[in-house]
Amino acid sequence: MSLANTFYNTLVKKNSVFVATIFASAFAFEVAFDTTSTRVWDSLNKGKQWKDIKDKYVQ
Amino acid sequence: MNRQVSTAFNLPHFHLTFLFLSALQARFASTKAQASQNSKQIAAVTTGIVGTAALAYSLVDNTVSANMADEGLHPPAHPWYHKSPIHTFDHAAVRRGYQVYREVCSACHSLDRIAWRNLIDVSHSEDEVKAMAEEVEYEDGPDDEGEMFQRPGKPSDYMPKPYPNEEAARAGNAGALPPDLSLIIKARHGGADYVFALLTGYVDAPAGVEVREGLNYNPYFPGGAIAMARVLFDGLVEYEDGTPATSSQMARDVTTFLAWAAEPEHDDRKKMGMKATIILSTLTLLTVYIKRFKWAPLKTRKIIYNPPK
Amino acid sequence: MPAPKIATVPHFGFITPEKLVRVAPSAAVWGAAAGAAVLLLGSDIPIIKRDILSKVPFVGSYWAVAAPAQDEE
Repeated sequence: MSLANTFYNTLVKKNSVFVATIFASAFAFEVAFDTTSTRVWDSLNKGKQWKDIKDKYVQ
Repeated sequence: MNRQVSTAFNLPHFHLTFLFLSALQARFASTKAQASQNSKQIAAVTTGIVGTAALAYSLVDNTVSANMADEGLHPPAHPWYHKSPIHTFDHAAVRRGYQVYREVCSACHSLDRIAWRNLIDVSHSEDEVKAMAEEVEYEDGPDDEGEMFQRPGKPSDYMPKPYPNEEAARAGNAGALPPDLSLIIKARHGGADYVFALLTGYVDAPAGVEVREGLNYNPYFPGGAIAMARVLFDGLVEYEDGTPATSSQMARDVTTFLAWAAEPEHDDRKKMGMKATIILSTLTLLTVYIKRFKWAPLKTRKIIYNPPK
Repeated sequence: MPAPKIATVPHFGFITPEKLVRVAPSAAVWGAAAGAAVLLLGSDIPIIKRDILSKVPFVGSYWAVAAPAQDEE
């Protein structure tokens, strides 16, 4: 219960802090989600994508 | 104001055939006062709808007809990567397929919607594409004298056409027009399965089937008689990565190449789709939970009536 | 009652130095929020990627702009 209180008092009570937190978290989430998705995607498609075969052909 | 107290004890007796009705009644217990009275009517109408649909389907979409050759033999389904929602193209196959297209198919078939630059970082490096483009001459101009001139190709140019126009194409192919291949996978019913089956499906015509002079028998082609002769034979192309070039290997690779040509956005689209699905389903579950959380007081309220003494 | 003494402070319309001082910390946080918004919504613009985001200490490499391959000659 007090975790919720701490969260509210530090991050939600003042609107300026709230909005700044939202944008900063969205930014961080985008980086984290995209990095993780790319890693998952690349492991699902190991050996099939251009980046996996380009070393044979790029000088 | 004779309101019934709506509690769980007020459910009707359990009726075997209408199991779903009791589930429905539990769901709406807080808003509906009584069980639905016309359950028999609902059952009768449902049976009527299902029966009519079955009858209509049996009349309209018969599975067997006397004229199947007109539709072409249904091609067998292969586990192409692009059928899966989480797989990209096999880019090594796209590269080999481009080689097959360039050495075999481009003699007759154009690929108008693909430019040299579309191959960059898909199947070839930028340097390779520039080198390949430079081998082809393109008309450009007019220059300062007003003359058109020839210049070596650059990545922004489109794939060269085998014939300058449709009439020349027909003249070179006994009156038949070899279709442009840039969208053929999307344009033909059956897609990659159809194209692969077609390329590997040339057989002798069965006894009694006559194919006129100039046409070839292919059971997968609607009608059975196709103007294109068989072009893929074992060892026709020498793959640079050493893969044995059997006709089915070449067919598989060129079909993969054409599937890429028809949908070059495919890899990105599926990756974005995976990300969107994850985020949207998470948000949906969150939404459902929050809605039920906020509605809980309403959904669990009791209304009590104390009659006057 | 003696006449009330009215003192005015330097001001620009309704904006006085006292109000400015009171509102300054909040305004600073709003500025940070606006900066975060610009970075988020503009995170795909090459200038922002090159000049701001790739210079961030730990995670900057995520936005590194791929250099085009050079010709051998």
